[in-house]
Amino acid sequence: MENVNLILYVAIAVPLFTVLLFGEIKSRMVVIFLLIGMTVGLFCGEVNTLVFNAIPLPEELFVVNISPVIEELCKALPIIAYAFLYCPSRKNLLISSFALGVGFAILENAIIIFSVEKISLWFALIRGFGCGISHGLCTMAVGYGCSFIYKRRKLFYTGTFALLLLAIILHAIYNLLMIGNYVVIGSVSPIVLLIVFRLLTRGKSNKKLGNSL
Amino acid sequence: MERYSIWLRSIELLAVAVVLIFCVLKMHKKRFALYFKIFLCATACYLLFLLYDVITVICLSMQLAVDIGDIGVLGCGAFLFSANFGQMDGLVDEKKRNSCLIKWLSLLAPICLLAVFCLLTFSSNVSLSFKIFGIIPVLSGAIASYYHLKHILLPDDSLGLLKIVRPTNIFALSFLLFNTLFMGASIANYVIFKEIAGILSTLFICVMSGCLIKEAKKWKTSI
Repeated sequence: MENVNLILYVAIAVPLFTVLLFGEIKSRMVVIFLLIGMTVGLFCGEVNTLVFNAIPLPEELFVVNISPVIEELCKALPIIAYAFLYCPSRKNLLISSFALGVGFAILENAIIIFSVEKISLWFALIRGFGCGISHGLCTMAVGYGCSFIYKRRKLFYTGTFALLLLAIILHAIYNLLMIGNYVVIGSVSPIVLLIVFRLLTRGKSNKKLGNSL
Repeated sequence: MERYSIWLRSIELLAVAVVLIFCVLKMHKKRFALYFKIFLCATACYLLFLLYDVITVICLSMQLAVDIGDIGVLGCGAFLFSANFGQMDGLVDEKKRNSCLIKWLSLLAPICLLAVFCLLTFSSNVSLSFKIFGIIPVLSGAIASYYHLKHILLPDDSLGLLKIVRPTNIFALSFLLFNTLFMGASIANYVIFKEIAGILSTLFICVMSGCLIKEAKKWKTSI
């Protein structure tokens, strides 16, 4: 049987790719980063399999301790490259980072749903919200650090590293809750984090949002 | 992990969470400098470290002696380093005559922290790989401690910033010391020493976070 992950990736990515023919630059950037996120997700799946076969750890310990490190590092690389090469505004960087995380989550959810025997709408909602938002927020944290790349170079290096570590431990806690049968708490906590984040940034106008963060 | 240890960790978690929420609410109302927000991120990282410890006991059937929760400690140190090296040091180090001596004296802080950690871990019977991997989370804190001690020892700058943040630096340095002791005692399995160091490091990070609010208000009026 052919690689199911690759088949799922092509089935979702090709229609998204056709959207690039239309729309303005801003909306195209979101779609591009969704596609990059899905590509990173496909790559991470293979890397996780290779590392799992190489390191003699039980599956639950691997999912909690190793896979967040691999996934967050892989998601961070395109964001850092984008920040270095194009010097985008903070707002664009944050939106692109979130889109990359969501793209990663789309493919991850598709692969998991394809492999699970009994699925329900409730399961899909939990995976959709929990996984999508948590990946988006974690990548956005790294994107925020990258926004200092040209204004404060010292802060970029140290801050991005620190925010990457924050993203890794957040991801690890999420994985811990999901494998520990606390799926509802694990899925609701990213939603709560997102609401808190939006409340904290609510008072600022769209123009100032990027600068004041 | 013993039962009393889980309860203790949960109480520490609750205390840090309450202090963090209070500080975030205070900082949200008035726009404070990025320097103080980075300190709060360090507190958030420490909170996640405690949260991971508590949730691991509930969710996992087995644990590793050195696991990914220690990244919370590494991240905490990285944020403290980022606040000092990335933000503050360029503003306050006016490169005066005696600053060279102060820089050399400040090296005592990371040397002491690492020496204490190595003394605790290498005196125990734990395997060498745990000792080597165990030092990684402590490294960022050790590097940050250099700047904390430097900013305590440096004479007041022309902007008056060092005078404002000196208490925070003292509390941050104390937190890093007790946290290093906690990490070392965890690896070496000195249980009572570990719990006392854990309580003290939580206490100092709570006091440091509370102190930030007072200093942030003074910072606004001094510039």
